[in-house]
Amino acid sequence: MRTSNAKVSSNNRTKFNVVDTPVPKVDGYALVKGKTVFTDDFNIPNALTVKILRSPHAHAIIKSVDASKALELEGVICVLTHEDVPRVAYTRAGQGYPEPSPYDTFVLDKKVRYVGDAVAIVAAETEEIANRALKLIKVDYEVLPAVLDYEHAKDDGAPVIHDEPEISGAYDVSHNIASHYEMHIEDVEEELAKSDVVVEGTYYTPNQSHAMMEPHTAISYFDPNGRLTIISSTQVPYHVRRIIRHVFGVESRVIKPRIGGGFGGKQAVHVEAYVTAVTLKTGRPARCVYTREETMTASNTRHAMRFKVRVGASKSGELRVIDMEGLSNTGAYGEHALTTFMVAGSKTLPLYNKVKAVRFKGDIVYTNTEPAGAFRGYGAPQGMFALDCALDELANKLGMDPIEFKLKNSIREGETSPVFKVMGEGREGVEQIIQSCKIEECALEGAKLFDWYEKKKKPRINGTKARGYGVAFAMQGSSIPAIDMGGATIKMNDDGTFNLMVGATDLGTGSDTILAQIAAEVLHTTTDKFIVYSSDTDVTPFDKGAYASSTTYVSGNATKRAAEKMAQEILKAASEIMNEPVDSLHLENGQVVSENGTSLTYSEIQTKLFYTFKQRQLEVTESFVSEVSPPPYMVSFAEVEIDLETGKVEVVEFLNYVDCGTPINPKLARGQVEGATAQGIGMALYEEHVLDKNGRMVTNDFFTYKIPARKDLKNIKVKFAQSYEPTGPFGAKSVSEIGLDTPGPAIANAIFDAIGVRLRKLPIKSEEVFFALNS
Amino acid sequence: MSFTFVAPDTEKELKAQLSEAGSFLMTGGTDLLVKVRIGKIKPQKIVSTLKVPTLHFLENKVDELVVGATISYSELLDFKPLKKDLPILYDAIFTVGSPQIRNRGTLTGNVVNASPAGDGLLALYLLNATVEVSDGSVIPIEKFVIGPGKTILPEREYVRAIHIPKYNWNVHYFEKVGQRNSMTISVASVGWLIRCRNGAIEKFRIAYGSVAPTVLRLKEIERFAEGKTIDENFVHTVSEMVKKSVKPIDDVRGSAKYRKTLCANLVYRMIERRTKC
Ligand SMILES: Cc1cc2nc3c(=O)[nH]c(=O)nc-3n(C[C@H](O)[C@H](O)[C@H](O)COP(=O)(O)OP(=O)(O)OC[C@H]3O[C@@H](n4cnc5c(N)ncnc54)[C@H](O)[C@@H]3O)c2cc1C
Repeated sequence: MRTSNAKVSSNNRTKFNVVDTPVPKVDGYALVKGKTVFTDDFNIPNALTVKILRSPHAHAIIKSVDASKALELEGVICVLTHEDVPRVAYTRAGQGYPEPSPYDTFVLDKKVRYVGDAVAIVAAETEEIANRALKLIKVDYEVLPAVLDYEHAKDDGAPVIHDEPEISGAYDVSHNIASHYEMHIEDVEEELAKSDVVVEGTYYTPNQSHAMMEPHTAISYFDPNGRLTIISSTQVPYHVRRIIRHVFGVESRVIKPRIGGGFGGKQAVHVEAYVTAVTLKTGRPARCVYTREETMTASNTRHAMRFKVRVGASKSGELRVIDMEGLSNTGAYGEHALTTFMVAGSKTLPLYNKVKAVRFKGDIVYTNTEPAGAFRGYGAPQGMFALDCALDELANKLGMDPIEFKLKNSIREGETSPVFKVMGEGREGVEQIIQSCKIEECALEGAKLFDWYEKKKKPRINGTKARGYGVAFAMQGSSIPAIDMGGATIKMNDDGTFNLMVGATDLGTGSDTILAQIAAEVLHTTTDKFIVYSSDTDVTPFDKGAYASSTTYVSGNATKRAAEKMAQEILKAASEIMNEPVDSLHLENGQVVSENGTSLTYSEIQTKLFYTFKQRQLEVTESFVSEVSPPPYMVSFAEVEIDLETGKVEVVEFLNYVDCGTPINPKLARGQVEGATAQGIGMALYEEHVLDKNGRMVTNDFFTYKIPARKDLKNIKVKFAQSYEPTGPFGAKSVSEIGLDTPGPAIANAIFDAIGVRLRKLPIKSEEVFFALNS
Repeated sequence: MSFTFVAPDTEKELKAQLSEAGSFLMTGGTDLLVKVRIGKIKPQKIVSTLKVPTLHFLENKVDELVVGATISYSELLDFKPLKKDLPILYDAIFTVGSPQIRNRGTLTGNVVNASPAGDGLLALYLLNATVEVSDGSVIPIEKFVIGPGKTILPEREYVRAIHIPKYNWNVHYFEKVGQRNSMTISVASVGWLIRCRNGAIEKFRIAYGSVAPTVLRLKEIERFAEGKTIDENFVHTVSEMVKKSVKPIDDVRGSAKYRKTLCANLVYRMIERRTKC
């Protein structure tokens, strides 16, 4: 058997047939043609419309709910309150089990903890009736004082948000602390004392809405045999199934059709519990589609974080110490509380492995605001904003070029960082030696492309405009090692096609396409021969779901293994049919070719196996769980122009130089980086949640909540380093999240470079720049 | 949300359709449908103007451009003489929304919507445009708009066209400061027109958007400017006067303080652009 297992170093990748080519997305045409592919497109006859009555108060006890008027309305089928649903504490977070998030949530509770928290579930024959019913429900609230500012959540006498006895896993509910974490390596105070130059600063990153196009949606029904089926716009169908069983004690099948974007927002149970409650109660199909307002105000947001950072270095630029003390706002519930906070350290600190002492600690606090959850980058953008800006300030104070300073102290191939072992996600991490790291190429070649050194020589102010240049370094991970598993099944058909069935959930990222490329590469055929099906818990093998930059790496490796096993099965069958030893056969262009020149197509082989020869179905399933989480690396360069009369900031150019190993599909990989840059620019300059004094979110639609529009994304460039990760499928690492880590710091650093003012709080709105300039 | 939708094809029929209570006129719908969706307007009937051929016209006279009620921004921008004859209008409507919005939206809708942030409206204020109403009256824009979302358009009447006088301005300037670069409502916007004579200002018009209940023409400044030369001193004085005249409020888009200073600062664009008579 001829295989592609040739020894490759991280520098030279082998020539591929399908991998590393920009094949079109397997679902691209259906999507752009508006085919019925999304959850809400499923027409389940007789389905009830489900609407949620939401709290107008940030913190209140529900004394009574009077639904009698609503129930009198013709077409209202049921109104469920906390008395009608199981009182089972759970976490909505879709994570590996047991989850590191506190069990502090109920489907419905007698207390509401933020404006938008669910009070009652209404099911009616039509949407119009359901909406009318919402208005007829009378709720008597005892309004409690609320915690809206997370910097005051731990204050003495602050209202306690979680005082229910059933919850577990929270750190100190009496002080509103959902989780706490601390680690240190060596003595930071000692290293600070030894440092010639020290910088201290407090950095803030804001809440951010995922702003995916498709709102949260789910439909539930009993199939003809009485099995509960849930169609859901989710990134985590297997976790949904497990959580639904935990809460309601029922088994179910969860189907994930095409997803119209998630960005981590769908890595939690949102709508599924509500429709399930209705179907279990009424026996009828139930459908719930969140409004944009609900998606903005009552799902999940990025954790807002504050980091107090101290960094110190010797005169010659050796980084001695990083000390980060954080505070993270998890909002009303603690899904992903601990893990996002840890990622703010675990996916940033190992980048600077030359440092002598490190400390990272902090609290994740409850407040009466929208619950925070998973969001692309998962804490790393928050941590990296603080760390990279602090290092930029330090380089500036040292009089060193930031590229030189950051490169001097960052990790290289063959090296490790003690942080890998100390910090994992919710627990200890795993040791790893870095096998692919092209941070040097990213920084140096990127600087050339960007013309960094020439640009830095130019005067910054020209009339009423100032220009500035900033650079930021980043790393991420590829999967959660030793926890997250993905499986793939490949079945061969008699027409020469294969069914590739994966639990991996393509949420618009293109994973269906790149998994087909990986399988096609192994099986020496083309992607159009793969019918990819993802994901359906009754049909596809388990996969943890789409998060933690893991699909290419984990599900990709599982697919590669399955394809390799399928290759063996095909060769074995061919050897029997052709009566030749396996060693003399190899795969080529969708057929098995023998040394003696004869060949059999895949179609011929499976047809024989179906009907005439040693009859069997060729089908294999393989799984993969990684022992390591190889980080992708990236260096980004930002050029900004600031209007000194208005404070307006324009990102004139943004160059990303990325080491993601082999980009399985360069076009899709580029799209991932561009999209992440866009979201990062939004976080850096525009996006923020504005609350009124009662805790109601004012920025609850796209009129008031500004994500970058096309003209705000002027010139985003993406370049891939030559890199090959030996543990990845065909050398691949992750690429989906890392792009969000750099825009915040690169833009803030560029603004400093332009106007000499250091803005440490995102978003940096025109108004803030304006007043910074005029003070 | 349920209503009937009609698209009459004559003005007579249009008028008849409007006589029923709960009827709302719609041209591009880019303001109306937003309001319907959020429940601010609850129409029983929506009456579209788009199928009425006599409202779809552009009449380019020597002294004025007449823009029929259903001419979209895109059609107007594609109309070659606009950029030459009325560059301030061109610049202002070029910033409206996005290509999709400009393909639907109209000047008439912008006028009747009467938002102080209306970009087309600001240009029309500067140009002393008039509004031709179906009852035959022709009303100056500043009289027509009386407050946010409020006009003196009589019930059951509609706007037929906007009349825009042409005049040889030597300098025109429009700028909109938004929270982002497109699809944005202004935090503040400004426009001015200058006619020069013998190296000094003969005529001056200046207007601000988003800083008062309606678009604001600063007539006192306009009178003050007459006969002045444009130098640093002049710009500084005007800027100070602007600061005193605008009355912005705090909202999600920006604070009153920011807006006020912004308005004053925008006058300095004259120096930046070396504006001279
Ligand atoms: C995403 C988005 C971005 C936008 N960006 C901008 C922007 O940058 N700048 C800006 O100024 N505006 C903007 N707008 C607002 C809007 O596009 C403009 O005000 C546009 O000019 C409205 O024109 P229309 O034809 O769509 O009006 P419509 O929505 O059809 O009507 C607006 C109002 O006028 C009335 N009306 C319509 N036709 C007539 C008529 N013939 N006679 C009398 N009354 C009539 C309607 O009843 C309604 O009250 C934006 C809107 C959206 C949705």
